[in-house]
Amino acid sequence: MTRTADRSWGLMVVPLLGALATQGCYQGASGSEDMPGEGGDDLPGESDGDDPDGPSGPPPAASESSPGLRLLTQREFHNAVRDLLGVSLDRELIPREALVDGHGHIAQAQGVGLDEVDRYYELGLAAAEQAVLQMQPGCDLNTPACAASVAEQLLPRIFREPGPVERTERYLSILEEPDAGESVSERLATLIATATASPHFLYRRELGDERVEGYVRWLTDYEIASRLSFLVWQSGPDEALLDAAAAGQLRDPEVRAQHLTRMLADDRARAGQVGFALDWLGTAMGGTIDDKDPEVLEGTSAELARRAEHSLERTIEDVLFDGAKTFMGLLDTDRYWVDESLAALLDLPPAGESLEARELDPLVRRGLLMHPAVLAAHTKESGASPFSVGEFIYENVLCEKIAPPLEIPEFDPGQLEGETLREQLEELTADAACQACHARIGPPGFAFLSFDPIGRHLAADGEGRPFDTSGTVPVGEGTVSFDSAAELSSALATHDNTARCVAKRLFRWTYGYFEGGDDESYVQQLQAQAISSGAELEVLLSTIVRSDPFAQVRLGG
Amino acid sequence: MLRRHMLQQMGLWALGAPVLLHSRRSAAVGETPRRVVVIFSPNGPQHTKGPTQADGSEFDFQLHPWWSPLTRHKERGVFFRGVHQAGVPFGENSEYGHRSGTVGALTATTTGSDSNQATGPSIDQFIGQQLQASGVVTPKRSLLWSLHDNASAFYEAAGQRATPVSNPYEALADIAPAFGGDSDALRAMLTRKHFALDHMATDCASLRSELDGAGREMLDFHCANIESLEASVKASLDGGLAACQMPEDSIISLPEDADWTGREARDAAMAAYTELMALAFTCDVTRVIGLSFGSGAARFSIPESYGVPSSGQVDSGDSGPQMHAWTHQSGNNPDTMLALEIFYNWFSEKVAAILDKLQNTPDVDGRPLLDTTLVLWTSEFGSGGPHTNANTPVMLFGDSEGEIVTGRQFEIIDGPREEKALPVHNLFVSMIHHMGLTDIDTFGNAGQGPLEWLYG
Repeated sequence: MTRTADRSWGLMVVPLLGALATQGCYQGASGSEDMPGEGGDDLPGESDGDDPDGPSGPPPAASESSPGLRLLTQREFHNAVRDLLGVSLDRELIPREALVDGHGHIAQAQGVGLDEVDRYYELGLAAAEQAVLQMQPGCDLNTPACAASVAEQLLPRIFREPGPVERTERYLSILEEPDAGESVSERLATLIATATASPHFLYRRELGDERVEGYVRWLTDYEIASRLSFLVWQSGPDEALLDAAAAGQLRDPEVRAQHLTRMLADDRARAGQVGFALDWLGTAMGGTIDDKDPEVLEGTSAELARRAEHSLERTIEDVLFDGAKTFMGLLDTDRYWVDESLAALLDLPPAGESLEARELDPLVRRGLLMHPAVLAAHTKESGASPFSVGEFIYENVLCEKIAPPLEIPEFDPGQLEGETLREQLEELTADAACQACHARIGPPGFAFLSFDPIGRHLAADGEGRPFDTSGTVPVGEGTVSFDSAAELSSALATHDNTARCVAKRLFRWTYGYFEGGDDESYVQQLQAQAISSGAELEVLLSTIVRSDPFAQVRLGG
Repeated sequence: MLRRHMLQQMGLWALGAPVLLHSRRSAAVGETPRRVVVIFSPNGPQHTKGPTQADGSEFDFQLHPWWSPLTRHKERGVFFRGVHQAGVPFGENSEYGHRSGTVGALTATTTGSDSNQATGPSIDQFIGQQLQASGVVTPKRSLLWSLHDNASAFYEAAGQRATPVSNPYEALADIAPAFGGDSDALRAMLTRKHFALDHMATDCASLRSELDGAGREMLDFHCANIESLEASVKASLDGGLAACQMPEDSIISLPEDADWTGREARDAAMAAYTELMALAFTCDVTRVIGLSFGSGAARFSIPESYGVPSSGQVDSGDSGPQMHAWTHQSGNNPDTMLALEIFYNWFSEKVAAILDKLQNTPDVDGRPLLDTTLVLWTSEFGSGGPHTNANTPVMLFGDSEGEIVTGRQFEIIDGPREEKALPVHNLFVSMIHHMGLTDIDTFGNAGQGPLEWLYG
């Protein structure tokens, strides 16, 4: 028998940039022209299929629909375990989601490999053993009745729905076996670890139960509860949401909106919304401060990476919950929360051991694109990374698409001696074929030449020459001109295309796939709200949560 | 960290080593297992056409000086010259740089776009999966070690990168449970885990039954991995095949908290992985091991004592005494050739040391491990500067118990890329056949059958 190797494990890769067989950049700068995936020639609902019960037409493309399962991201797993068991795992040990074009929430690209199966179980067991030690149930956990009552309360929270009785009973049987000499409380820990490593916990099930039209179905109330809690908190639903689901209330947009208001006031919302902001800022797309070369890190704290991460997260919270309360504000904030090591790195007035707010020098720094933890994810280990930074801004911040590079010509740095790096790189990419993309990624990247890979501001290059950070970049139908990265960031913070991008990314974040033709009017509505509100957090979340699609799922091929 | 922590909790890890490895297992009955080692190095060479000198013939050839440390294993090797990497797209200007180079090297597939993901598993993972599917269940389906935090050339499945271990102590803790049949605590842990996996498998099957399309494919992968781990845990509980014993002296020369992915630990890391490889094979912990010197585009560096000069800034923005920068430097710069020679001498010496170890370690039947082991070493590029996949260095060591005629070079000088890539696809099939999986005749996105030339 002959088997074809690359089909044996059956996973599909999300089709990306399907049209990108030849050189050149996507020219589409606004609207939906830059959607990845295979365009919507065969949209669900357009065919007049004979079967009134079955979906009509071919299923939507895999990248433009949901597989019905949403694997928990690293942060979601961490937060959900924390909220269920009161144990905070080391996040770095938790499997990290795969990124698709800088998006961490594309459901279809995720998978649980062999090592991950093992790690989810071991992490769950470590958390469960600690949780069992901390539990004060008011009865003896080494008696089967006590352990069973704890398990019966926990299982519906872990699985985010009551689930079938048989499943609960099967899980409760773990308290009776295996007979490997362990105590009942140890078996309770095994039960919890089994549940948190079960596909019923690791995936949010978004399959729905009732057809709306075509491939669109209504979600169950419990599925809506999870969608809401993971959108707002990046964690599982609390008792109040599960109660509302049990009462069948969550198809009502007003009830969802009431829960949203309640949930946004909870501290868990801060961590949840930081997650989306970090996805947009692409902090998982590259290395961290720890990966930089020793000469770059010289004189900095050994803890700089962790401290910078805290600084970034605290500053995002500040913008989204205490300051502008808009996502656009992330590009325009005039203050960072810093501790002593960050303050020293960034030439800000001294700060103490814990984070404090410090005003930025408006001529040097504005918004979070030049925060050390953001720049570190888009720069090499040393030196300058203008094209990488430019590509990040164009693709992630503005949702535009850049083609992969052509073959790189051999480059002898000696041949352009005396010129600045920018002059050399501009000469190297002067060809029209190169300029199709480099006119877009070059200028925003060069604006950041005056920052090193961990965000230090540099007055001049190695030869003592000042940096030329000015430029003009095409955005949408027009152009944006700037003299510095701070100016560029301010301009992007008020640009309609940035707001459009936030809306698009929030769609993908919420639904787990790239918008397709059928989502066009919905995304446009969201974009209009983003433009008029400056991408205000509460306005956008409220629009999404109240919409019908929030209670639905588009399943596909 | 996680696995060492687990063993520590059970009192089975002390002073940087598992305490349970000292138990001696009984010798196995039956055939000596076949094994495979797959090694990937980043960036590719530059300014060469492969690991052999020009003007040689099939049997009469010299290794290029960069690969000279392998001369002592030349008679057990097959060296490919002028081949094109498997899997990459065959159009002009369509190689997509490091992305397709890294993706294609071991999977023989291409992304066809910049999605940065392979469309199939890498050869090591595939062999591990297929062996297990054929009923050969070892305590570890395969092992993957890396000198960096990731191993971007290794894939478990389409779009699913495999997760490597990048600290030798973690690698040791990872395989330790396979030895521990005599420890009550470990048996209890494995029994609980097996039991838990059984419930997870039930849950997975139940959820899978609700799905079709992409969701079902996601769960096919997940459920298969639950079942695979369950089988491996059972194999650990049942005990291994071979006689094996932990060496008296520690096989790891630096402490647990050393910077294991940093340049100064590279020699110690490779020495440890080489020892672990022999241990894992003689104890039949696994039959498949992957080893990643670094991921695509890695700014790979080696200890300062090797004297790699520091590169000035190149077009990619890199600089410093690291490999990626030097592959982007002009070949007219004598320092470029010096730096790349130091890197390739280092890689070659490490591969040669692995071959030494496999040659000098007796298998259960007393013969050298190398008799039953094939070792593949390849890279992401033929030429790292312009990112081309032509003239990719590919080397195979071991003769598969005399089936493969070694001490030869395979040379393709002319011909289209497709023709130059096909032998590499066939070579992968030969590796699959070496493992006894002779009903599989293709691997990756092209080609059919094994590389007949190998067999003389």
